[in-house]
Amino acid sequence: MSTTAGFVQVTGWLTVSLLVLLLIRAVVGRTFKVFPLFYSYASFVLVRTAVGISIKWSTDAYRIFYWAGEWVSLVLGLGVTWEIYRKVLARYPGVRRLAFMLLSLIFVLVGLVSAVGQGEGPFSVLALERDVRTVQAIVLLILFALVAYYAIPLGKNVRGIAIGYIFGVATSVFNLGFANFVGSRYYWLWNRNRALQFAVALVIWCATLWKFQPEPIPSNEDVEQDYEWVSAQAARAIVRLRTHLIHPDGS
Amino acid sequence: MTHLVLIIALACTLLLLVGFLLRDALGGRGRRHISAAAPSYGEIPSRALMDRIFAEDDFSFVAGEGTKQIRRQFLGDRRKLALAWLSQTKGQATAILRSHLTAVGTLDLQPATELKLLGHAILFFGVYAVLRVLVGFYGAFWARSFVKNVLTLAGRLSGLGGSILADAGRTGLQVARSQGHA
Repeated sequence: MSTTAGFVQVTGWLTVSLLVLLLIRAVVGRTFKVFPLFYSYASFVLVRTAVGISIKWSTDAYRIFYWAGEWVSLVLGLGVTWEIYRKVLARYPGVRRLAFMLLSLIFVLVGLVSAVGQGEGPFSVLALERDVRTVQAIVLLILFALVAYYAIPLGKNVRGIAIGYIFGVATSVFNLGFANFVGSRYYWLWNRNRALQFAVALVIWCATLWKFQPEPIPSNEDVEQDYEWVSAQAARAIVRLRTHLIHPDGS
Repeated sequence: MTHLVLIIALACTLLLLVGFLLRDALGGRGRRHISAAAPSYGEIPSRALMDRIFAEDDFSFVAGEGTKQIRRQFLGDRRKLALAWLSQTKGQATAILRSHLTAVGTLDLQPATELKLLGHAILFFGVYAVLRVLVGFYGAFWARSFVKNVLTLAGRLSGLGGSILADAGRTGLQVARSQGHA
């Protein structure tokens, strides 16, 4: 067995062990039912990795296995993004609506850009996957920009899923971008790195999903407030402060 | 190449986000307090204080009576005071915005209203940043007179614009009348 193959086997089985641990904890810690899409994704990756490193594949067969697995995992990954969005904004209907509007706008823009850019070059599965991952990255960035802007508190479980998953998307976007640009020379590095990168995400997931932690409930959930009045007050106060800055003497 | 740079920038932004989330998870900034009450808009820093910081009488007096060293110290102190006043005002604006955002998160938000507020906030922080740079680099008095000049100029331009529009309206009306349309 070559050094590379040995490395892939070791990191592959390490990933499998961490995935098994994650799924066992999901059942014991009662988080499986709370995040069904995330655990479907984890289960699929477990089966895919175990099969991938157990069988001695021919190059063609492995190519088909790899790309089929990559696409199923990409679709399940979109499900994870959806689950993060749903859980984080569950108690924030207004922010959810804003996020939905912004995301719809992004999808329309991406659709327009794709339609305009069609036929620019030969079709490449790698480039398509890179583009889908890029859109996913933008969606996650918008979602967490809103979370930061509205100071939405995150529960430990969903925060953990988000950290690990965003890390995975970031490394994926990075790898796909480089692979598309540099070509096959980059695959050597990518093959060695990908399992280790995924292992980092798995360690984060195992630590944060060890047991179920409920989402924090906003303490002002039941407080009756007139949104229009509250917003008008805030806008007026900010405008007053701005005027105060420009005309400190009241002129 | 541009494409690759954009993708790397996106990946780095995501990694930064991971860093922020990790920092919060490890207790760096912990959970923010969410007020159960209606947002409060506090007190705006005193105008009288700012009048005093920028008072040109004081500067004229020190410039006329004091030595060069005293004048320099006076200007340095006023700069520090002006920066402190600016920071206090910014702190107040941040508190207002934070208070509003935590209060309305669970309500039925109107995108147009939120965008308008965001616009006001961006404008405020823009003005703050410009003033901070001006005071930091050129001192409180120069910044004050610069802002006054800009405002005077803006007022004149606005007046000029109004006169031009009024003239154009009158001319248009006269032309229309002469052609029998009005």
